[in-house]
Amino acid sequence: MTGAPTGWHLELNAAACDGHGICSLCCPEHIGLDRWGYAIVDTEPIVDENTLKRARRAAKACPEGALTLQSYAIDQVRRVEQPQQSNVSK
Amino acid sequence: MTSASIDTNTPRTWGETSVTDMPSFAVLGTHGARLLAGPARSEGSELLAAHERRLGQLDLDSTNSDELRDVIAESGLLGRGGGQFPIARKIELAATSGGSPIVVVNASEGEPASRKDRTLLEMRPHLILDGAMVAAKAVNTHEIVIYHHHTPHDSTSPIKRAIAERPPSEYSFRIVDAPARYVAGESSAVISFLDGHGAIPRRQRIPVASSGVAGRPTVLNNAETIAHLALIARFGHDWFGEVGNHKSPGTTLVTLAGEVAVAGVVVEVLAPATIGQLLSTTGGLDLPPSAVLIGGYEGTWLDGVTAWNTPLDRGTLSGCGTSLGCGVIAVLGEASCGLATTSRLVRWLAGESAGQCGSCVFGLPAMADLLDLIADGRGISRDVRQLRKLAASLYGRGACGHPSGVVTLIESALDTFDHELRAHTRGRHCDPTMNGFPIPMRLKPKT
Repeated sequence: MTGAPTGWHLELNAAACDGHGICSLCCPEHIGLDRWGYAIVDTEPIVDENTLKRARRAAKACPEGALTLQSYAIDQVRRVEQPQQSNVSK
Repeated sequence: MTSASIDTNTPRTWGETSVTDMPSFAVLGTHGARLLAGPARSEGSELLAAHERRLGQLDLDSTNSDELRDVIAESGLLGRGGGQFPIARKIELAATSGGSPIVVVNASEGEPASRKDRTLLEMRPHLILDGAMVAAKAVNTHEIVIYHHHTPHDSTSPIKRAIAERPPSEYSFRIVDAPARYVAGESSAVISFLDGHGAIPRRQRIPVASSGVAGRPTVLNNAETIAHLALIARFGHDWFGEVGNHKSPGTTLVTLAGEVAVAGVVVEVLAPATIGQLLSTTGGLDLPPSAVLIGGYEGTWLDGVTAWNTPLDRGTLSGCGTSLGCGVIAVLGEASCGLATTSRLVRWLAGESAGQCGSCVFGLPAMADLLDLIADGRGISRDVRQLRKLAASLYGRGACGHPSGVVTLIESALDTFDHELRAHTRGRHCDPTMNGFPIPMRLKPKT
């Protein structure tokens, strides 16, 4: 990934999170777990390059695809390409 | 099911069936009523002829959508569903997002104590249909969906009859019966249901106004908001703004609940008034009650004396940390325990979870357990601290606002009933009483 890492932040789809907890192991700075093991995500922008790396790993590791790394630019693209979010009902 | 045997083609006498077993409505203020003007409740649902005789025919052909959007924007109408979002912004976004927009009237009213949308739907169905047509015209569409909460007394029928009464026009109305669940009225749940999924909230990262039903721009508004549009289009934004204040112009419907003279009375607030005036004129109260729950079951408790002098106005209320929300004002009497009542509400709200997010599925019952323990007199101050900590950790979690709403209710209860809380941690035991806070049973399976 090239370009300035500013503007990236983690985002959790809480409805998809099943409490695997791998994300918290990957990136404890931005992801904590509640007492039932569900992720609590800090959505502040990630400025540090190493943290960003770990955050990306955390997002990749999520078996439910509940965690995503977002940037403003990506949001804009999604608006066009994928106007409807898939429903994550169980 | 007995409902299958009812002949829907025969007009029912509304004055004798569902309408009379619902409480009446009232008006607070000196000006004439607006949404609730017209025939009395005993006369039942207003027919098209009477509606047009009273208000004149809605003329949408002589205006264009730009003009309509300007009038709506000038009116400053805020959504009456709880979010208090300016309707003009939604309409503007839907009109400019491209694609073919759709208008959805959210009359689901999942709030157990609220009666306002149901009352409008039963008494003034044509006001809602007119308003929906105004919204449709403003975004250049003809497709209107009425999203309706299925209730035992089947208040869809007046609106069904009202649609049948209308002469054929380019506007198409579709009624959708939503499951009778608390979260089914949440905007993303409405969209999800109309998309053919369950009526459960989902993560909505793009405003519904630009991408809602099937990705189409969707003007999704509460029934009361839509009804206001019918009057704004007829009488203009200046007339609309004569009542209310600059923060929230126009009249507001509120529902009285709890320990009042008659629970379930829908009141149209026409003039600046305090909650005390409302409770003394229509609630039959002479003195401030013990406490008042403002904005429905996910609202905030205010102690009675403070609430008595608080202006009943959406702008002022949201300024002081509470919100009129869906417009329910529920009164807690002197003899009732606020903590026991809250614990009963929280237990029910926990069961109304859509069951999607861990924070809701596990967090809400955990809070309900702690609150039960405290109301029961078995809790100690450590349990109170734990409840506060748990509540704070659940705020803002989950895909929708349900956990946050329950947290708001609990935190305001802990603050408002501070002295009761101390008595409870020393062993006071209170049984939840039947005190006018309705808890509907879920008769249908989860959807």
